[in-house]
Amino acid sequence: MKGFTHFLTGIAIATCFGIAVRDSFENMSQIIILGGIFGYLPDFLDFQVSRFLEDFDYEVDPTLEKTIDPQGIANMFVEAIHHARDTGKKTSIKFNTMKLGADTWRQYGIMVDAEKKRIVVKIGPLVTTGKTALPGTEPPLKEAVGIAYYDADLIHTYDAWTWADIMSGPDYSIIPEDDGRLRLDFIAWHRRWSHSITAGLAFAPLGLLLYVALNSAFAGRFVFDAQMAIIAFMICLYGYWIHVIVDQFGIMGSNLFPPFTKQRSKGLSLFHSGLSIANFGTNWISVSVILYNLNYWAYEPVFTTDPLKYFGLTTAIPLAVLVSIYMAYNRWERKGKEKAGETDDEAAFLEKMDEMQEFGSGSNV
Amino acid sequence: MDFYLACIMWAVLGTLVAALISCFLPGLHVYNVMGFVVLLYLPMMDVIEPFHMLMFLAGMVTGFGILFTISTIYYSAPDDTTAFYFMPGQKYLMDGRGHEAAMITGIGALIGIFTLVSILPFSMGFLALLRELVSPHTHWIIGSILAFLLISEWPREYGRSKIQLFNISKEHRAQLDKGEIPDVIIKGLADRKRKLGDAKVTKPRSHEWEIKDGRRTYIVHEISAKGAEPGYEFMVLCVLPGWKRIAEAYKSKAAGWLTFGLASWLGMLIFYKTIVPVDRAFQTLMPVFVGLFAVSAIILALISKVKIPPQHLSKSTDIKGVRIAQGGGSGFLSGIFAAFVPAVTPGVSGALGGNATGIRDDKVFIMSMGTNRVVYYVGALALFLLPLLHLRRGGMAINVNLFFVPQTLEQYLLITAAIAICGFIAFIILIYASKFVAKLVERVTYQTLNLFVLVLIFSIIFLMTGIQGIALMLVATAIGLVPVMWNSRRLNLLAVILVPIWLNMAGIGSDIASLLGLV
Amino acid sequence: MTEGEAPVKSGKILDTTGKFIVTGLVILIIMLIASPYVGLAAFISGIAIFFVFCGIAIFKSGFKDKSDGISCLSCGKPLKAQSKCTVCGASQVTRVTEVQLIAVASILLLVGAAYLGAASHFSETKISLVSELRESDNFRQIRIVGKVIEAADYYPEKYDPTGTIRLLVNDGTGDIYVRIIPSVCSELIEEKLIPGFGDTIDSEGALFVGDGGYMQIKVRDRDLFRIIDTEVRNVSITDLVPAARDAFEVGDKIAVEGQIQGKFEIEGFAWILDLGDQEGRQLSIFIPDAVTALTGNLNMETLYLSQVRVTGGLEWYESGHSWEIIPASVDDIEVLSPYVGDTYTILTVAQILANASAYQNGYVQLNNVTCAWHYADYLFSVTDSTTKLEISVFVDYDANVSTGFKVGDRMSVRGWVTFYDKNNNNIPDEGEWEIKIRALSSDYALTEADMRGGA
Repeated sequence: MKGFTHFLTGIAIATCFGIAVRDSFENMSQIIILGGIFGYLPDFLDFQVSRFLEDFDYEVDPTLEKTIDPQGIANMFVEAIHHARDTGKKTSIKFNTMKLGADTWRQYGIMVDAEKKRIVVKIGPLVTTGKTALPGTEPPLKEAVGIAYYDADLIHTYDAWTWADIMSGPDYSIIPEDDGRLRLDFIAWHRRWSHSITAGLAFAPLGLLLYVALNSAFAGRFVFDAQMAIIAFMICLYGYWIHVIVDQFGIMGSNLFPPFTKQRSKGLSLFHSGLSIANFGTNWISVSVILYNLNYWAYEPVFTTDPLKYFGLTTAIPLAVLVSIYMAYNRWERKGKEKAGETDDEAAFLEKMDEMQEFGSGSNV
Repeated sequence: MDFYLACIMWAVLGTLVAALISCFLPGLHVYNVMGFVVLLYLPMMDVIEPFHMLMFLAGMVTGFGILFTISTIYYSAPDDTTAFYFMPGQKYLMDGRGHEAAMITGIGALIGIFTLVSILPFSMGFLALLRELVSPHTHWIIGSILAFLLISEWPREYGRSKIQLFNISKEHRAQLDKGEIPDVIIKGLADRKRKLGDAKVTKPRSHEWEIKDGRRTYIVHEISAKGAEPGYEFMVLCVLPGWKRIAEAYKSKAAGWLTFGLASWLGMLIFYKTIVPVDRAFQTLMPVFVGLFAVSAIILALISKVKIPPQHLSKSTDIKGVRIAQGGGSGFLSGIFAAFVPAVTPGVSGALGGNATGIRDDKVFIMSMGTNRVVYYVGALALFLLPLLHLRRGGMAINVNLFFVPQTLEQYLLITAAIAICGFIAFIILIYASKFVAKLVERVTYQTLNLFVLVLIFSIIFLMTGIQGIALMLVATAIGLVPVMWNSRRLNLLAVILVPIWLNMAGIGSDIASLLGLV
Repeated sequence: MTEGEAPVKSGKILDTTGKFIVTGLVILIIMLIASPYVGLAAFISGIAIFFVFCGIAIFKSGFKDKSDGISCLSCGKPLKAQSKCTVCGASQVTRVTEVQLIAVASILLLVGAAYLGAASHFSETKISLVSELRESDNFRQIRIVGKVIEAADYYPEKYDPTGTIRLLVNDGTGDIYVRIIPSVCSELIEEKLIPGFGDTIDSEGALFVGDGGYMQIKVRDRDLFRIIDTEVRNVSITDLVPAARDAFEVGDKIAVEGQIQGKFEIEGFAWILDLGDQEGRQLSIFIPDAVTALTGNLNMETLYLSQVRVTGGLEWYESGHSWEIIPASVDDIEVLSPYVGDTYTILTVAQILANASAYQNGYVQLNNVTCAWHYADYLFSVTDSTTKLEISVFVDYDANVSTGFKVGDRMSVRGWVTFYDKNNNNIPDEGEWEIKIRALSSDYALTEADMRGGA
């Protein structure tokens, strides 16, 4: 799911606490925001912290070399694949981006062509941070492409281009399977430990500290209200957990109880997390939960507090209509075209690609 | 009926004024033009019926909502709402598709007008209910938006794991292969105050050797044949510890936070201290917005040295029905959100809307901002007149409340009629004005054009707010340039209104202001 | 862009379609702007003309914008593939054309017109109560229905035959000023619909709340001002003159018949007319200058001494302990029968004084009397050979009297017998009888010389 969706589910969870809602309109408390922040936290930990702590076995870094050599990059990828094949150990490779100026980057793409057992690297044009290609900056075709062939049984993943252009580039892990084949894992550091029940327990006390510290700072003296502190803790914990739970509906799943479990469990595969209707639907539900709670905890409710009637009218029916329209549209659009046969791995790759491109991460908004 | 016809006449005149300003006086903010018009109007209240004046403003706001895209796309002079599709808009302009970008915004705006005139009149009861429910909670809603802005910006730098120390020649290859450390490396490290202890050399990769001394790891990297300089073919690198990588990666995020902080400070400054002459105090926000968004964008355009390619005046637009539905839907929801919640402007709500619907497509984004903007500006007016609600919100209500209080359903229906008719007229004007301006900018060098716009903006600000206004605008420009220079999010600039309003709503505005020494 | 590419196709600002649509739009805008002066027909025909032009434009161009296969429809650069431009990525197949957009947009015109129609169904504003108005209602459109409880104020414009009317209105819950702006006022003057004291009005305008609870609504539209027809009660002078404060309601609309027996002008303030009956009961008609300024001058030559019917609002004149009538317009004083002259009883001075009260309010003629005392040409006394007593003669301004006569001159007098109450206490012995020579009547006081001169 998108960061905003998680943020909103966190807020929705926080509004389930009547004391928090009432504290908000009676004492102008900002406690509900904690839910949002902790709802967002797992992705923050992955994309804004742990990705930078990851050590890679192979690293492509065109900026250091001051030049970009597609053949060299393709060769390095193949070497990494062979390294995994030969050692039987997980091998990771990172494709750093090439920054050329305050707002200019060199774009290059990597494609794993599993059918022909080759890696294709293509150098693209210069782009701005908003991913706007500057016309006329593409290198001539013969210098732009590098192809290297590998000799391994790589499980076919997804034959789309992965682009390294702005910010921190993409990375792969090549993981040898028991049957001797190699599996490509895109951004392996994602959802490794952060998206877990245990991490929620570990981080929630930080939220409590943050709450007490901010409260005291604004009051100008040390303030500690045990009841509110417990509420703050619960909001943080549940906000975090709801993120983990919502992500289980997607394809990727996560490692739920580290350090007791080591593997990412599979998700329920209801949709992939970047799917706009899934995000929209989740946000819709969150907003209706928030409104229901604000009404429920208000001293004078302005509409029905019967959950069945409320959620039936505001959530179930509209979403059912929306989803039907969406499905009908999809069927109509696919008519005459062959069904896009998406394997699980492809879907998971898509999901990760989506998560890698958070809204607004590229364009300068 | 004559009264109604006169209403429509005034509204149409307003739209025509907006069209002229958008095409020939880029960089003016809607609310400031509005403030100026109201200032001229107040002494003439006996001559012109207040409701007719309101109609004039409604026509003007509708016109601006649709036509301002010309300022943004062709003159790179965006306002606080168009600043966010400025970049994708520029992409279109550079492809020779400026007119198409304008049309995409126009389609968005058209959807905005359609939704406003078809949905709003039937949602009075619902909106009144919603307001009653949500208004005591506005403070934490704005607070949440701020929190989201602060945490959701991704670090934009690489967070590189190694830094280059020095280069050595490829002569040392044999020595490295044998597992020996060449003296030149030991010396080179010593020069940089790095003492190599008991170190081992390994070669985990075909083009790299690793030297580990227990504390640190150094890497000797063979530069690819293409980029190597003779005599310096190997690069000695030092592996950075994790916190240093994070520090490097967070440069842009820190710039974002800095932007946020500075914009908040500026916001508190203008809320608590009136800097421009008192009689024009309602114009305080003008130099700030113009500085933050328009002037900084123009400076960027001036230094980027781009040339506008010939523009193609397409007769059709590349957009699919489903994209129109997505853009329009997301734009309408975010626009209504912005029109409803204080301090939230289309920039913020558009970004949130994009996030909420998970739509990333440039076209959809440009379109949704077109819808969002119209729904926000025109919707603010419509909500202000909407019976049962009469939502007073932002610059619109401040200006209009000087001479008019809305009351009847009849007034609301008249405004809706004017919005529909003016929306239609503005849209048709947009089609041809955009073509006209596209041809105009093609003939002038982009730099000359931007310089002209810059001079224009300076003179307008000087005329309307005096030298203090210019000073305020320059400060705002400097802050507006921070995200441009360090590639952080421009959204942070909107802290200029979000933060002071949030602090005031949370009841700690004046405390913070006195802490900052503003009161 | 690399060199040697085919030139970029740019397109025209105004092609044939564009020319038609822009012309249609210009006509539409002109018609919309002209419509308040021309009428609804301009509005409707503007829209119709635009649609006709639109139709021609569509007919000329068609809905589709088809690719020529050579250059991209979006960026105009040479096309390498048929369905998608390789340079800008734009699809050449699924596209929305300008004409389609204009067609969709023009629905807005119809929607706008529909809303205008809908607005007229909801044009009535709710009536507000003055007591419920607050400062927070400032600038709100307010409708008040109430009675005008003070004579209207009028501030004329310097150069135009119009001005501002200000009325104090009470709706039963409180007082509010209603200000009618000059443009509306000129229409009211033209329609002879001037609100007056006692009228019930229905007016609507923006509220202004000033310091100290001052409240005013400003009427800016003729349609938002109405005088509600109220029943006019016929009352006789007999009922009104002795009536106490509580016998009638201030502001009641009444009509009274009687004769205009006195006239008095306070320059720059008002005319006060005396409406009397044959028994000498008199009632004041108070005509503020605002009324004459708005409705025209009083024609005293026809009014004086005529039998009239006066319609107006009843006001209690506190210092006179009496009721008076304030008409809204000079036209509210309607002449029933003009004054034609009176029949005089020829008497001697002795005959009058012997039984004066019998002749009170009667018309008498005294021939061959002598001026016995002369204070001024308008106040003197006469006597004759039948008695040593004198009777006073009081002359109205402009009445038919000789000038420059002196004591001892012989003259003829005819006029109206009235009792001049010196102390105003109605005790007959304290006052004296006099003959009043009324202006504009058949009364006279002429010397013999003047009589011969052909009076």
